[in-house]
Amino acid sequence: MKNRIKEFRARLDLTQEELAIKVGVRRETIVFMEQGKYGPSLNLAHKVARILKTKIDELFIFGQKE
Amino acid sequence: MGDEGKLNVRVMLFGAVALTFVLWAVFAGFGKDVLRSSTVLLIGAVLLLLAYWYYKRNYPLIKKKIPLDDERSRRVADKAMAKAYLVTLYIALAVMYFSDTDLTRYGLQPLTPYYTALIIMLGMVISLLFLWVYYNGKGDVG
Repeated sequence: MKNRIKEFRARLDLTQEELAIKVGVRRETIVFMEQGKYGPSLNLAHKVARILKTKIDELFIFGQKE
Repeated sequence: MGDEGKLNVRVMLFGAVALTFVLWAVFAGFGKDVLRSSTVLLIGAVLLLLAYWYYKRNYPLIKKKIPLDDERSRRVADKAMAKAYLVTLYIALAVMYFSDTDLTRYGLQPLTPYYTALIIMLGMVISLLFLWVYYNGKGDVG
């Protein structure tokens, strides 16, 4: 699934590790999510969207593969 | 339980299992079964090394407030365990197939209950390790 996590993270000047700590996951999970290789649960997607100050449907582009 | 507590419990469990193997090796050594003793000692040493590696890898992460596991790592572990169980069944089937074969002709140990159990246990542990590494590097594990 395509997403804009990297773009939103850059806007807030957050590193992958900082985002991982804020969300409460391991850094690898953020890396795989950014690469579109890991589809997070709704709960995790919501947390990431909230921390990146956006909405799930703006962060994740549904119906598209990398 | 906090992540630091979880890590300590896991490392202690690893240590306890490794210590059991070491004690087992010592008693097997007293019984002059040197081959059995060295095999079991090797398993204990590998487990101790794994515990040390696991602790060294995770302790700095916990200090940085990065959790020990998250939804992805749990999914990876679940999938690796499920597949390792299947692999173990195949190993058990293979062992059953060779149970009537005289393996000493090929320079191998005969399939006594001890070696049968050892092959199945080691097969499960090794396949679990390989599958965990595979799924951990794969990304999506849904």
